[in-house]
This record gives sequence, structure tokens and C-alpha cells, in this order.
Amino acid sequence: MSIGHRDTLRALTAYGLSGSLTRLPEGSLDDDAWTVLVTHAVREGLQGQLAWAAANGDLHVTAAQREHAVDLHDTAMAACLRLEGLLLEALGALRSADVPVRVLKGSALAHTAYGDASLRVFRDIDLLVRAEDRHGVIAALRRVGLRILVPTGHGDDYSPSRMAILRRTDGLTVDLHTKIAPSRFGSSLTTDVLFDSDTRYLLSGREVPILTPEQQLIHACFGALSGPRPRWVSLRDIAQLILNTEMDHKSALDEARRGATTPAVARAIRLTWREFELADRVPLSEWSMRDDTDGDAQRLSATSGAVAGRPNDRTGWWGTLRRLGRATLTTGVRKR
Amino acid sequence: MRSEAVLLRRTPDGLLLLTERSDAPVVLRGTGALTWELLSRPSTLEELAEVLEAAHDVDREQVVADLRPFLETLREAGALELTS
Repeated sequence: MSIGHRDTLRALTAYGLSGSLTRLPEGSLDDDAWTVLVTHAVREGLQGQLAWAAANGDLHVTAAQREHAVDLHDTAMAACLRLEGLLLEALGALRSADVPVRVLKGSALAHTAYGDASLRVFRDIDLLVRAEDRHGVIAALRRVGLRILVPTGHGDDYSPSRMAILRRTDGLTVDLHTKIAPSRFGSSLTTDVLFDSDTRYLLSGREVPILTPEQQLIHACFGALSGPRPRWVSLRDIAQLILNTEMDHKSALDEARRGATTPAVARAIRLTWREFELADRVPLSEWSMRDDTDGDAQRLSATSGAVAGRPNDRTGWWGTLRRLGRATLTTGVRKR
Repeated sequence: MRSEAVLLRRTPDGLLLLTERSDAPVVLRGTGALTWELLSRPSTLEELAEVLEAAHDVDREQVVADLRPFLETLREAGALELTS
């Protein structure tokens, strides 16, 4: 993607975000530019921003481009609704089996962090469960037609915390997770503490158990940094969580310190504020700018000759971050 | 009145609804989306027709004739509940 396209995508990701100084292109988009934008927007799950920006006239599009954007959004929203239907079935089955669960990411964020759920597209359902409940979870989910697609214990470089992927015959997918913070970041966040709170939202008249906003933030920060490059939609999630929920910033920081996740959280928040050019300064953004753990990571990377920005290179930036995560645990404990 | 057991999304051109009884979302645009908004509080057919007649400057009988099957479709889908 060219710099121009990247800036457009960045502004599109931030569309509707209060305080963002990013700007969508003022001119119209020719067919090639439109095709590139649409391709990246769909890949990043930004159909909501694309459709609303086109419909509101904030993105200068032709009638055909507007219709295209709205059609893409309709298709994405229809898929999200079907996933939420499956989510309610799955939660009912897990409740009957007396298995504790927390809903992560997509639907939870759409309804709690975004003022308008139509801005948050998701492609599957993510559930946090305890590793020891594995058999009970799989058995309960079989009762709503879900079958294991990828065997238990599967993990890849980007999702080492995944327990299993399950799929129904209609193609709808559920990801089971046992952690929200991969241990390769040096995190010591335990899963049990994530089940202590009783945070819920209402979906179709039913209560859906989720993480606290502070825990959701930590999860979103890892989501933003867990791929080969920062994920746009996760950065937007971070901004939404910090700016649009009743998050207690001190509690969020305490939670990050307790789990030894401060380097990743600081980096992700800093990245969010920089990429979206957010004018609003809030305690967490101020802290992320002050926190120098990432600067230390970069310096250590430089001295070790590693290439910064290659997260899979565990001897480089990634490994350094991990080591720093462990170091920060000591600092965090001392400060408390 | 609206059923509580509805999954809903706004779109630039209307609304998408999904209920337990339907496999695919119901798409509401224009008058359909407006009618759904009006149903945010329990309403009679006549009350709905009165608002829609004024909004679209069409004959009341025509509005009622169009509304009946629309509301029936929503009821069958489980999106609406009849109250006495």
C-alpha cells in the first residue's frame, strides 16, 4: 500500500472517532483508488466506517461507489447478526453445562465500547474459557452444532492462546481462548482473575458475560501488536475503550502492571494516539507517552543488532519486549 | 410492540433485524425502518398509520393496507409481539 493509501485507510479507521485530526481525502476517488480502498477496508473490517463515510458525504464517492459501500456493510452486518445468534445459543449451552465463559472482542466491543455497533465488524465469536473446562466446553458447544475445526492445543505465532477453533456447518466460527495476553510478551496475567468480575451487556434481552473495560483494553493492546504489523481495528478498539467507556484509568494501569503487560499496553496506546492524531489527552495516553519501556526496548534492539518491527524474531524486538515485560513486573510490584 | 429478542444493526439505508425464528436478517428500508422506529413504544395500527400518512402524504387506507402485511411479516419472524 502506498503512503497515500495508508493515510486514507488510517483516516477511514478513525472515522467518527471524537478528537481525531485525521482527514479523509477531499477529492473524489477514481476506480483504481476505490478498488484499493475497498480491498483494504474489507480486509481490515472497516466496512462500517466506509459505508457511513460514503453515505454521510464525508468520503467523496459516486452513487455507484456509495451503493457498493452500503452493500458491503449490509453483508458484513448480516454476518455479525448471524454470529450473535450463534453466540446466544452457545452461551445458553455453556450456561446449562455450568461452564464459566467470557465473551471477547467483536460483539462485546461493538455493544459496549462503540456508540454504534454497526461500526464494529467481526468475523467470528471469541470466547475465553478455562483450560481445565476444555472437555465440558467442547461437549456443550457440540450441542449447538459446533465441531472442532482445528484440534485442541493448536497455536500459531499470532494466536498462541487459542485452545481450539470450532465451526458449524453454516460456516460460522467460534474461537476458544484460554488467555488474553500471550506469555511470549512476558505477561503473567492469569486467566482466573478474568473470571472474578461480573461485567455484562444485554444482547437481545439476554445477559452476556464479558471482561471489564480495563481487561478489554489489555486484550485489545495485545490484539493490536500480535500480528506482523499493528492491526487498525484493534487500535480503534483501544481508542473506543479509553474514550468511550467508564474505564478507570488507574485501575487499567494497575491491571497492566499486575499482569506485567505495561510495555505492550503503553506501546499500543501510544501508537493509537499517534496514528489517529488524537487531540484529547487522557491519563492513560499521558502515561503511555511518559512510559519509557518501549524506548528501552528500541535501544536494546539497536544494541543487540536486531531489526525493530519484526515481531516474530524472538531474538529481536519481540524477545526484548518479553524480557522487559518481566523486568516491569518487578517495577510494578515495587511501585504498588 | 417490539419483541426484546431481536438482534439489530443500523445501516446507512435502514436496519437489519435477526430473530431466533429467522435464518437470514430482515432488511428494513425507508418506511419499514421508520415504522420500526415508531414501534419503540407500543402502538396500534391506527396510530402507526396516522404518522405514516402524514409523513408520506398518502391515503390512510393505502397506508393501512400496506402496514398490515408488513407487521404480520415482522410478527411471524418474532420481531413483534401483540399486546391487548
